[in-house]
Amino acid sequence: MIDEKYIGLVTGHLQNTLTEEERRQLNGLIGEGKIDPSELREMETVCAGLDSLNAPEPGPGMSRRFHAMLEDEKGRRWPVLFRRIVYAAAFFLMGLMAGSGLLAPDRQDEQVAGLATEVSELKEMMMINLLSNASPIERLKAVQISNDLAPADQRVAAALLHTLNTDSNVNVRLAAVNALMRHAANPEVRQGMVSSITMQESPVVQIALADAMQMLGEGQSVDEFRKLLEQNEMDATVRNKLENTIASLI
Amino acid sequence: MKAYPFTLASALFSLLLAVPALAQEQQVVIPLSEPGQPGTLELSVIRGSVSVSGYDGDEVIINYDGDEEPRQSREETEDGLRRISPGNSGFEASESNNTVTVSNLSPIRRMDFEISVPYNFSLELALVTGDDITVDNINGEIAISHVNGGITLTNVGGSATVNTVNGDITATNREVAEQRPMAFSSVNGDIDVTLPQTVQVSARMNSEMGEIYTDFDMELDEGDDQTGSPGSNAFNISVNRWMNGTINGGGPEYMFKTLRGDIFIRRQ
Repeated sequence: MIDEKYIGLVTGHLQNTLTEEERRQLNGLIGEGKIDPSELREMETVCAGLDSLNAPEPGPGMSRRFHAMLEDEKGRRWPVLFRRIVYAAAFFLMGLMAGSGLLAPDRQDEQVAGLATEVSELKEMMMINLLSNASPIERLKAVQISNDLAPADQRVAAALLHTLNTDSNVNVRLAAVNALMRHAANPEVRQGMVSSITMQESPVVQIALADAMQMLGEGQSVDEFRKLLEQNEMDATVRNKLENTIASLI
Repeated sequence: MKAYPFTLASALFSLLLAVPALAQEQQVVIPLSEPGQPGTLELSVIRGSVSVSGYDGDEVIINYDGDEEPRQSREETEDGLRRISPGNSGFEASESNNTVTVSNLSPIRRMDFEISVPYNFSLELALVTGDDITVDNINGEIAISHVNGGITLTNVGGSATVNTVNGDITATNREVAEQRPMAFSSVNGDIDVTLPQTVQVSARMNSEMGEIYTDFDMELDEGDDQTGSPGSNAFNISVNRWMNGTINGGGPEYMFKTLRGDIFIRRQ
């Protein structure tokens, strides 16, 4: 999250009202990592979206109604203090009602559940979006966000498998193997991990998959590891590790 | 100096062919389109060495030193044809929006790079074989991948993802970017990472044949229980598990993985 201290600068940037000096300051903060450029870009996107929303043009009726309301309001000569007391009492009562469970409990649960779903959908979107980010650190973050999402989520599992098979960064793929373990109850995910074995040329990912398969007792992986052993000139340690994995699985 | 015998051999060979080819030691200076702004350096080398340092300046300065040009690119062929293509410096460098990319490196020539970049630079470096990759005084996102060699980061800020196969990883982080994960992985090497005292991270660590050491007050969680279902195989008792620990209450996840090496997580 962007620190509140910098909100002024960020808002200025979004409204395009920064002076040269402020702009330098903002860029400096981005450089020092105090402001996350990807967050800034997200805010820019949101702002651009807001601009393109259609605001209704004020019609002639609006001004008439406004003046009528104003006259109405003037007509009521309530003492200000009295009104404040009434408001305070009203809020107090509302609080009491809410607190004493006037809202049916299952309805509350529904609302909470609805909110939680929305939050996790947002997280999922953010994660899938981040997985295609150019920065490997962001992609690593995306894989880690997946650990906060429901293990049964098919889209998340599919995105992680895609990352495991295609990401250019070894550590991102390694993190994907770990993250996929949460989804391993799903047979499609296990199958996806098994078919990924021969696609991995990085020894670190190969051994991580060997650990994963051993942990899952996934016998189908044996053939894949054998293929891997055939096709590659392999580091002795890694070869040994894969042979042990095969031995433990058959 | 692994390069020495090769250099000598190719020098002798060149002499035999009577083609005077001298080792190059040259510099390219690349100005940035937005001086003072953060930038990125991208460089992949097959054989050689890479060393990058941050400095107080606005340009990317590439010092390079390569093997003599391979035999194919002699000045004249045996049947009397003269070479008309320009001599190959061994790489191309380009800049766009503060991203400097060094590309088109010859896969057969050894190239040694010593590069100075402004402090606020991110790095994407890759090397297959040769010396260690060293980086110092950088504050940005550092992504480094090596195969046959170690990686040393000194006095860096920001965040890093570093991996190698045959080599040690040493990283001294002067400061770390907030809410940014990091990852360090090797197969046959140690991982030695120094972090600021006040850092708040969740560490995820695994060394199959080595040990894990720290002088942080690390709170360890019980073994990894993230699996969907345990395997049915009796061999699984010996399965290699990840350790999870939190430092100063926890934070973004830092991953440490090696097969044969030890893991050291040090307090600065």
